[in-house]
Amino acid sequence: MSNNFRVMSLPALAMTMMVAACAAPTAAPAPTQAPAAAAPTAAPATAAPAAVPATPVPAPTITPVPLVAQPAGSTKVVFWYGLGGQLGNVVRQVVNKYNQSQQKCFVDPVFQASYDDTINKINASLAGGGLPNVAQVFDAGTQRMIDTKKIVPVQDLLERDKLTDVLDDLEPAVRGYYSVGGKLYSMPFNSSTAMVYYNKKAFKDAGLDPEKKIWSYDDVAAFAKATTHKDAAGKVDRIGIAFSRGGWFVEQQLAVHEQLLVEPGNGRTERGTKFVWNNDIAAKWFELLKKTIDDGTGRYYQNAADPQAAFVKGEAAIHFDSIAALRGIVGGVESNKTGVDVGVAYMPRLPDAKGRTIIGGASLWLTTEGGKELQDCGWDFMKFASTSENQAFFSSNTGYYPTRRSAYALDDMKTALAKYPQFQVAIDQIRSAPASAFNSGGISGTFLPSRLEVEKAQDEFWSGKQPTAKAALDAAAKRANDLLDEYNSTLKK
Amino acid sequence: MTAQKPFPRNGSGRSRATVVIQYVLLVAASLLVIFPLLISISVALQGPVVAPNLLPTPGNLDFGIFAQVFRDEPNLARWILNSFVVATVVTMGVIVTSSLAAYALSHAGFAGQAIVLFLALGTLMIPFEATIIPNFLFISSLKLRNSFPGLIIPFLGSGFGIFMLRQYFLTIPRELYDAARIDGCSDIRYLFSILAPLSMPALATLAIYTFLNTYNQYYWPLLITDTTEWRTTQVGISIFRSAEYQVFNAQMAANLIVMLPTLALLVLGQRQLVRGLTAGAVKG
Repeated sequence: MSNNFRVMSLPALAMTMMVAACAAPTAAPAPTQAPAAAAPTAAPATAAPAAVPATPVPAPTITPVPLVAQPAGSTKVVFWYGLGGQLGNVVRQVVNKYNQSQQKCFVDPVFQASYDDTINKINASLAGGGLPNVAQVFDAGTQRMIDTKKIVPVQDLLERDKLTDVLDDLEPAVRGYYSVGGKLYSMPFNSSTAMVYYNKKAFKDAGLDPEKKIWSYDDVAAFAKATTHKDAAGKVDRIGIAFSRGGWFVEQQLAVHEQLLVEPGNGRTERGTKFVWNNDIAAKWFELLKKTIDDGTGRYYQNAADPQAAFVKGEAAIHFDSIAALRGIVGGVESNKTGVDVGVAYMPRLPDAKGRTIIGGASLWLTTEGGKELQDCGWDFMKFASTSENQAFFSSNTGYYPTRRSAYALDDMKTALAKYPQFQVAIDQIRSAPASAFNSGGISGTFLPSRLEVEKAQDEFWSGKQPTAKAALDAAAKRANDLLDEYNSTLKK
Repeated sequence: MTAQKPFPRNGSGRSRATVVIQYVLLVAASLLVIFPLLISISVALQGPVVAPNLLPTPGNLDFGIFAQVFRDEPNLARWILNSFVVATVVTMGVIVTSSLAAYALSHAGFAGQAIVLFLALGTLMIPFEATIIPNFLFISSLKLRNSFPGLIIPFLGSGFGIFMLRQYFLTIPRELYDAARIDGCSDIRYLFSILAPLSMPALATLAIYTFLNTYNQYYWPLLITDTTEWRTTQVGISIFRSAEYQVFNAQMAANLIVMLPTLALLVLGQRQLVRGLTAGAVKG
């Protein structure tokens, strides 16, 4: 019974989800005190203390979009994707648009529960058969996908079809991430990047500049201190920073400070053989956040979903998140009437930093599964999904930015930018330095386990199990490298 | 401990205060147990909000979400059916294979019995993760992906079931077996007509345990099914989980819907379950 936590009983599963759902209200000290805090900061007209239950607002469709049926005589292409909920809906809309646009090919989208499960299923299917024709795989799966040797590099197809102008139209940061050895391997589909989200209202109230876009580490500490708010009884009713473990954010720190994640050269020109993220920059980032825990201006949440909820509710002034969460966060603030004024800024940096963040998100991979007909149909769908029109559609309905630069000229995108000006900050951020090996991001066959090791190190340091950040990072890097060595040794056969 | 004061044993003599306190404690305990269920109902009814409150606003309940979940994911009913069929067949299979094996291991007295028992127990020591890929390759090579057999076959034998039933069968007096044999009863008849009815608590416990475990499987159904209609509930409902941004109402509504069959089973089988767990606990 204890040998597999997946098999835990449904009530237990539900209970876990409940904890996820309600941990934020219970974790925050004295949730009933929150209205008292929100009231003084909110303008009288819009004051909506948290105790007044939120009115459910007809928000964008959360449940899945029904799919269109397959026309007779068409070629069926299997497409695996890992985005659920509202974002998954938009993926299905793109698929529906494709299926309605022509009769020759039919894309059958199969939801694979998450990005992680998608790559796990691909790994299992390599031996057992049944690979999809097209798969949406997240950034960390890049090297693994190449190593399967069951994929068709996208650049070969673009060159074959004389579509190299598509390459030039790709957002340079995005093209950089999915290129290895100068060759684009997968078709960028949904791209994001890491941002600081902050409550402009709390900043104004604390007398801080609510428009500052580039923060130093000292700023982070100072802003967290200034925005931490106590109620009359002396209890913290708004914490400065809310954060959880996040290996992805550590990767951003290394890129911003032009440090490698993997040697040699972030795995971009030859295979990565050693993780080197256990350096001073990562340690400083760990220590910056640890300091906020220690002086009571930051709160470390065990549950990764909680900082976001705390930020939306106005219980935290600063929060790190993907730009892909922007629409959800802004929508959540509106529907909950929490009075938070959502601002976004670049990931914090030390004064001499010259780099920029890496992208996140996922891309579409074409596999060698099936014959030429299936590959042609799969490729046709991938081209469709990455046109400027569809990228503008996808972006304006999610929080991802377009992978194509020409998409910004389209009306959908202009409307989205006008409604969500925060978007522009993310776009500026990924354009703030030319593409380099540092900001292309590190790739390796075991990148996901490595990311999890970074998060384990964070937990050990922040919860006090390891005395120093460096010690926690070194121990984690040792484990990550053992795994990478093992992975690489299996490839030499 | 010596009780000095006379303590009334029957209800009529019990003081009213004691009864009230007992009920208050019982209500508190049951609220605690049912809390996850209550909060999922609460969250489901609050609409698509990111930070749900503990309690919904009474005038503003979104009951439509339960119908919406079925409307937007037409396969949900099919998923529940899949899970139900798989869990039922696996449960019946495990009961049959486990009781036959346990009977042989407790009554047959053949050479190498201990080795067979240890082999069965040994399967408990191997984590499921270690066998999942070989199982996957095997089932794939039999072309049983996206089918009920593929979902069912790997789980028809259970080391835990064999061990549990063997231990229970051993507690049934041997004299019963001898008497039955003298009267000309065959082994199969003894097992199904005499031993099985006497072992109802153990069988019911095993059945409920197996049913719940199978119903809640995640990784195996995810691997072995590639098409939306062959998914089981636990894999299927992950489609209601939002990526990047957490909105819980549809997720909770779907959870509640798929929880109903197991909940019904628990209510119906609770008596057997409790009896099974404590049977023989005192008197041996």
